[in-house]
Amino acid sequence: MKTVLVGLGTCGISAGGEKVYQALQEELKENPGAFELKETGCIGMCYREPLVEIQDGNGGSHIYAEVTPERVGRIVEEDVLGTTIIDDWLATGEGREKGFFENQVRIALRNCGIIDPGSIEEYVARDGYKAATKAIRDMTPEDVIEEVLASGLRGRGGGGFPTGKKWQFTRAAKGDKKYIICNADEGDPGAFMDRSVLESDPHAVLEGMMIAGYAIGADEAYIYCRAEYPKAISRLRQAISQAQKRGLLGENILDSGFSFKIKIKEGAGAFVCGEETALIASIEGRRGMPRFRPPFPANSGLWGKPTNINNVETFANIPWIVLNGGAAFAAHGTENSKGTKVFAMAGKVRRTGLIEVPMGLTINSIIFDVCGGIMDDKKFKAVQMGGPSGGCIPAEMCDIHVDYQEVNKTGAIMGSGGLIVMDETTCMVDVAKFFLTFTQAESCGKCTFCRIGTKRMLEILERITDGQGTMEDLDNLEELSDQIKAASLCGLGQTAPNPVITTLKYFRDEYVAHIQDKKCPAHECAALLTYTINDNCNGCTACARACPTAAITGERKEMHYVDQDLCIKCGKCFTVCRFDAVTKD
Amino acid sequence: MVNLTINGQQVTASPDKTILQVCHEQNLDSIPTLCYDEKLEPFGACFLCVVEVEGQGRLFPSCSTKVSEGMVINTRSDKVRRARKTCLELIVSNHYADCFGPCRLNCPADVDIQGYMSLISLGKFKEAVALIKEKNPLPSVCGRVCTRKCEVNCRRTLVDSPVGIDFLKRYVADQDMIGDMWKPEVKEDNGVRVAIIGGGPAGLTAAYYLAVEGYRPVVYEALPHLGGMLRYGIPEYRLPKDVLDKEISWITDLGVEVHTERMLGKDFSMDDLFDQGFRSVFVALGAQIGKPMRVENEESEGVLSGVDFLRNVEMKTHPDIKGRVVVVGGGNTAIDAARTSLRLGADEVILLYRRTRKEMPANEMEIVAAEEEGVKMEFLAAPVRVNVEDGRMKSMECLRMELGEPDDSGRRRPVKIDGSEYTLDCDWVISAIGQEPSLEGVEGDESIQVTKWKTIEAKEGTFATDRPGVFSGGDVVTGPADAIDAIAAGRMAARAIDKYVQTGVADPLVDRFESKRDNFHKLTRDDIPQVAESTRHHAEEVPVAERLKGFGEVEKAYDDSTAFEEALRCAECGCDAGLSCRLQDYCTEYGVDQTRFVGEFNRYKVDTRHPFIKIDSNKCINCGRCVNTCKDILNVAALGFVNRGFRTIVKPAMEKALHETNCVSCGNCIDVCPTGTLVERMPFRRSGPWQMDAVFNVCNYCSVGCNVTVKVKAPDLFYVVGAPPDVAPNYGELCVRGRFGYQHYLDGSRVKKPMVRKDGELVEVSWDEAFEAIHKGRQRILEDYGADSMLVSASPKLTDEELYLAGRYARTALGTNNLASFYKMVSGADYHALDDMLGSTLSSVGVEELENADLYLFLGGNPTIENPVMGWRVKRRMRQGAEAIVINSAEIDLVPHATVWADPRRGTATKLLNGIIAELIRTGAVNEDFVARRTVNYEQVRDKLQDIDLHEVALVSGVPEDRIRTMVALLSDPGKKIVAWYNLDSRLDRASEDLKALTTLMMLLGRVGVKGSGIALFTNECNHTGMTVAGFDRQLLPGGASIRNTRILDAVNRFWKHDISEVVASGTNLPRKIREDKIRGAFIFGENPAASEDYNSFANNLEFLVVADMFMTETAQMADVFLPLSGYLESEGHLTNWAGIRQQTNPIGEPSNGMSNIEMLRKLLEMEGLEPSFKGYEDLSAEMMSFIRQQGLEGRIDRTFPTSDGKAHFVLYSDQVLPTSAKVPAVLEIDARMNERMTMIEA
Repeated sequence: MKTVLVGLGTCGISAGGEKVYQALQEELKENPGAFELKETGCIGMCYREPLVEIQDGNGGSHIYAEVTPERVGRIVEEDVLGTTIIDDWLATGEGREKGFFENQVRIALRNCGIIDPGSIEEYVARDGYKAATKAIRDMTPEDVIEEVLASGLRGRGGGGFPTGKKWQFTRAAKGDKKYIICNADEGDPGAFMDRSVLESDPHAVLEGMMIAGYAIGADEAYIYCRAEYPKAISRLRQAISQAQKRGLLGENILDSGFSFKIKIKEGAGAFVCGEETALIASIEGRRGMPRFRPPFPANSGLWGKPTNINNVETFANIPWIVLNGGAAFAAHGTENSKGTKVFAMAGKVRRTGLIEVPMGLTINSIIFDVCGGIMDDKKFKAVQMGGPSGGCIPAEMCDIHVDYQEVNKTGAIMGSGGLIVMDETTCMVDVAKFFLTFTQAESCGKCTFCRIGTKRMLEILERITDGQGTMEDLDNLEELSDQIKAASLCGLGQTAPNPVITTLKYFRDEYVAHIQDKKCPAHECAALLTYTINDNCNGCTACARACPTAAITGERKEMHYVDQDLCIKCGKCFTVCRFDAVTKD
Repeated sequence: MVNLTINGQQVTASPDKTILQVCHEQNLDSIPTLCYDEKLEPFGACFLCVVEVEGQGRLFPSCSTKVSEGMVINTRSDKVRRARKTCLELIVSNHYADCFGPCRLNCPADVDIQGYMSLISLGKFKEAVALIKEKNPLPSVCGRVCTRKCEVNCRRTLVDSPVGIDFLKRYVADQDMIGDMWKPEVKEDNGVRVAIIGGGPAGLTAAYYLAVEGYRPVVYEALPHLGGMLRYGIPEYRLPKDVLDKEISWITDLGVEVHTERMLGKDFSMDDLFDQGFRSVFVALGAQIGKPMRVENEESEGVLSGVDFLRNVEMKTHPDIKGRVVVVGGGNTAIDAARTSLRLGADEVILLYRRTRKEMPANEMEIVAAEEEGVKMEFLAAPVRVNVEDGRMKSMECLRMELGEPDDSGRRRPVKIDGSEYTLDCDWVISAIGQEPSLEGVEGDESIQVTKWKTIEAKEGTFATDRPGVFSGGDVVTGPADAIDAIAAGRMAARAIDKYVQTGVADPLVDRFESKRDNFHKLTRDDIPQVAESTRHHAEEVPVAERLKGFGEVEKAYDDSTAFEEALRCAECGCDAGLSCRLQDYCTEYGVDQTRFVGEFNRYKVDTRHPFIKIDSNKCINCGRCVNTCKDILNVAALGFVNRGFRTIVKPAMEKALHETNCVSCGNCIDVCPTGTLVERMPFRRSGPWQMDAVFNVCNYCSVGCNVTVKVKAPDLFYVVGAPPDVAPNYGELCVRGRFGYQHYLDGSRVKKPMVRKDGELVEVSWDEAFEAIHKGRQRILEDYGADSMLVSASPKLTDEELYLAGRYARTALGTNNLASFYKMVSGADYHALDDMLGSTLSSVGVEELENADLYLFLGGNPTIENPVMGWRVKRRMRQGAEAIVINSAEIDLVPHATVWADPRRGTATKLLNGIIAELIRTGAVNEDFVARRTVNYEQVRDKLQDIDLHEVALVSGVPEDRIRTMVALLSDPGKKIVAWYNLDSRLDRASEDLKALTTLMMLLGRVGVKGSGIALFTNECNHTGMTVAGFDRQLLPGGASIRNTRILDAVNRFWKHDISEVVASGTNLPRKIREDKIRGAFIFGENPAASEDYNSFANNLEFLVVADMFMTETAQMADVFLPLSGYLESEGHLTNWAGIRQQTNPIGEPSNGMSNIEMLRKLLEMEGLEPSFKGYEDLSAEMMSFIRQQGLEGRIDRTFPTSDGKAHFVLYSDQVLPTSAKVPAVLEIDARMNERMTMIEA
């Protein structure tokens, strides 16, 4: 019997996956028992959701992309009940998505889009909880840590601290009570790696946490997940309860004497709560404000007890490492960056979505080989890596390998995996402004430099994009950047200027153009644009009708004219003109 | 210990310390910080304290970074200083606040105008004058002639019209001249002579401030009298010379040597002065040469220079002015010359000015006065030639002008209109188009530079000329300016000269940083909504006809009520923390520019809803000290951060009004706020701010005995802040009573005069009459009823010395032993509970033991409410890990932090304790050694208690057996330091003899009279222990000795020259005597029994009642004689706290009732022919102390027990359970007024 899988991660749902699922349910009612209908998580091709996979029951499968409820009938009729594969609707057929899967190595995402996340049986069927069993039954905590050390796994939340070392510290810390915390407070704009993992494979995270708990001697754990991820939270709750029922969580697991329980703490969505000490404060019921480190959480964390914090992706890797050995993981990647990394692809790239690639691939390779290049074949300008804490890497430098050190050298950071691709139509000052707006609003308000300094930087950027900037502003930007980095308590403040610093470094001429020429080279900054009407105008009056301020005048069939004093630079005329008669400069 | 390098210096420090602590403790650098508080965990928010650590790219907050081996730290590098400056610039870019009002900022002399406005509004004239004279020693002069830049810039101009600042200055200065003028404190003569050349405003001012600093200024004046242009340039009708003389002689009386008619260059030279040993010279020659008009025939007869003319008028050497006078010029000299001419008899005066009225530099008020008096103004005209006839001027050739483009001064330049010449016939021409200095005597001195404008070149800020030791200021440097500019220069030059003499260098004064709301945007009416409209009061002027008759002063002064009202018009623009703001100080130090980062800023409404605390969030810098103090020191958390990013701000929890949160109104947030965000709402109409004296004092509310700092401006103008953070017992912390309780002393209801009842009414009388009435009344009662019918009551708030004297008065003058505190009687607690056991009912531990105990045992009471500061401190200790047993039927604030909470049913605590004791005996936890060596009678207690059945105890008390066993286990640890806490006055949960049971328990554990452990006995009133120490108690003698102690009794008899042996033996049940109306006469000191349920009729039943109190209480209203008490802040004395520490109170001023309580009691003794053995307070205190020493007890049981045999005595006691219906013990509200205010918070 064939199995029909519908991708119902948040990406699938927002693309209309639930309606497709309902349509399939209707079909199943019509043909009871004709096929098995299941839901699954995110397979990664978010740009082609809703996705429906047909498994033929003999190990073969194919995926339909952009499925609508209307298409469901034909798919069921011809393919599921019949034998015809509808080639035109396939996601992966005939080279259309060549390279997307071929270039990926999926370890953290090994079950995503494959299993039903609501079913512990399916997880177990794919070697789920084998690693935990192996660790608890056959390994000492030291063995486990040794394996993680051997894997070379580094914290995937952005800090990149060797996970095994962190575990060692927490294990060595004095204390009768220790905690594990899973940081699921994914907050970078454009990043959704953790959400997808939690939604698509929650047990992998639970198992990773369990192993960590065993390794460091903790019996209690928290998953700190933002409340904006309701699907992830409900998946987690379901998974925890399933694991408890199976005796995989709770007291005396597998009769080993090891006990472990996991609680979920919903965060209110403060970005800063991704910072360890702020996150801990938030769990403790205080305002999410970072504090000075040391002491590090490994020694004094939640309620003052030794606490180990890793993020979702880190934990998701753990079971695979324990099961397959650290060496297998370390076989991927580069000298100092082992294994794979999940990236959330966004921006002007053709294939946006979730990918997992081995470390060491070049950025160009990710963009062009895995993700199909730039949308509309525009000119590739830069990537932004690491979210608001990261930086921009210009296209010319995108032959670097994805590796913690190499990325850091550019001024960007690996980060948690947000990768935003920009083309020639992206204004780099505006990019810096975008990220700074975010960090400014998300600053916890504690440190002077972060609270007010980022605000003043943002104001300078606003002045520049408004055409009011001065060259002195650039000096002030640089000085403030240095000082905010140098004198902030936590990572948020210390990295907040990075987008400004890297854009200033690689795209200084764009800043200068805004200031001295009063021009935005990417034609993005409204205040610096001039709309004029050129010879192509045939007097169709569309622009004049669209103009909200009546700035465009002209007789029918005559050339039109923009009154610059009235023009508010909304760009309506440019959009409505069908004859390329509006020039934006 | 670790070794590290700080600023190149090798340092050894403990690795527990932060860089900041090491730098501060070892005096390596005063690192600035706004958020660090030594009592809190480092918060690390402001980042002002950043330092550089070698090898690290980042900067580190030194408040949070611990030192480590080999660290190389630089706390002063350029990078560090730049970061700190930026940090401050960022902070002030969102600090929408004024440090000072625009009045002060625009006053050249920087006079604290808001400060003296508020003092005037409170009637504090001397203080106001003193404040003005900190910056300006010539207020009477300035009050008449100042150009009033303050008023021009007054914020009130946005609403209606400026405050009459100058009128008010004149008003107070004139008031001060009535009678003795205020005098500054002059420093000791340092013997250094400084020469001042020129006796005008600059020279006089410099002389004044130098004299105050201890110098010997010598003034050389070319003219016959001092005053300069004030005397010879300003006419009498504006500035009467007697006023000027008075102010000048007030200055010279400070020891200023004056030589008149001595002219530089003619009579002496600069070199002469240095040869004579002057260490420094201040050249203040002024600018007194009239500038020529540069027209033909200017020198002819009939043409006068304005300044010469005015000087001649003053010297009475002026020509006879008649006919038509033309005055040329538009400045004040021109106006003065014109108005003077009219007064001298000119028929017509025409003022010729080349621009229009709008551009005239003269004061508007002067112009108006001149117009009123009939001076004609001819604008847009200028002289071109003087026409001469018969060797004398006859007329003047003038030219019409028009206004062209603005010139450098911003005024439109006058341009000649060609061919517009005309002739103006006149008899006199007075030219007043400007002045310049006369530099004879300086020009010869090559070491002193002169500018092309013929002024002396002196450096800005230091007033130093190129010649070492020679300074110069005033008009001779600036060219003609206002008197206030010269005064400002004089003061700053004096400062520079002082610096120069002391250090050899004249460094410039650093510009003080000023936060200004004007830096953020242009203020409008809407920005000062709190300012209501009101009309400016003008000073009256003499009618024109009257004026022209002579040179009498034109402008009159305000009358009193006008002055008060006008002073209240001040909008109080300046910050309450304007004089104590750390942010401002740092910004000054780092040369901060507020406008560098000004952009968007946050604005908040000032929150005044809390009865005591004002929150002006505009000034908040998010340092978090208030938040953390509230949370970590008080465990209250009424304040917290809200919002994120740039909008983050400190607010009361859940966005409520502060008084609606769990705020306990302790105001400790005020003390820690480094800016003016959290300030006290003062009980005064206006609150300055002023620089105030700090008087160290003791709180008189509860027995903790907190130290406070009383900030005093005047004896009736003061407030309370915390004492320094390193002083026990409260380490700077205060509770609501300690901090705000003073307010009720200032509510105006105090009675300050003695009164005697005449025809049924209390009427004010002299002290002598009151004493006489007391003498007679006492006599009558003694004769009619005998001494045992007399009673003396005193409040446990009186000082040790006062209580001692009250007792002495009772036992000698009245011969009665009926000593009582109604407070104690009403409360019904056994204040002698431990007398038989330990020899005295006093604490056996002090603050140190309390702070360092391992296990606390709280029996009854509610520490954080009754004795809050101490309660908070132990609560904090508990949060940090100290164990605690709370035995209390109520879930008091300490319960959540306790190890065990036992909640026995009401009245069963003694039963419960007995159960614990029994179990301790049975489990062998008794400290046998201690019991054997240090106690007696253990066996009888053991025999009685050891068989108590725990099960039964659990049934009776409701405390489960296992919980009792837990407590026993905790108490059994022999290594623990245990402190038991008991409040004698507490109304919460009292069981019969529970204190005895508690003490029995501590005794058998060997935890009394030993190091580290013991019993802490608190009371709700401050001086219970003092009452014991003073022997104000029927059972006690001075020193706290028992009346049975014959050794002390003999000593008392000897000292008092009076045998009281029989008297002290006469004590019986006083409440019964009262019930049975045996008491016929009473002296009540500071108590109000009429307010209690039990004794409300007591006063009614008396034949003679003397009440001494600060307020007209219910009891006082029934008095036959009322004596006003002095406040404890007005008297010397001691208060003895719970730990037996006798703390001295420091008077903040003379008693406002005219007599200290000690003096009053001494007079009372003398009235009865008793000769007090002491002369003054010192004697009295020593006398009392001698008894305390003899008893060997300083208000606290220490190592040995003050029993007859030096041992602790086990006694049998009742454990009777009171019926649950038993009423809660009553309390006599001593702090009724205070409590009334407190309840406002809940309302």
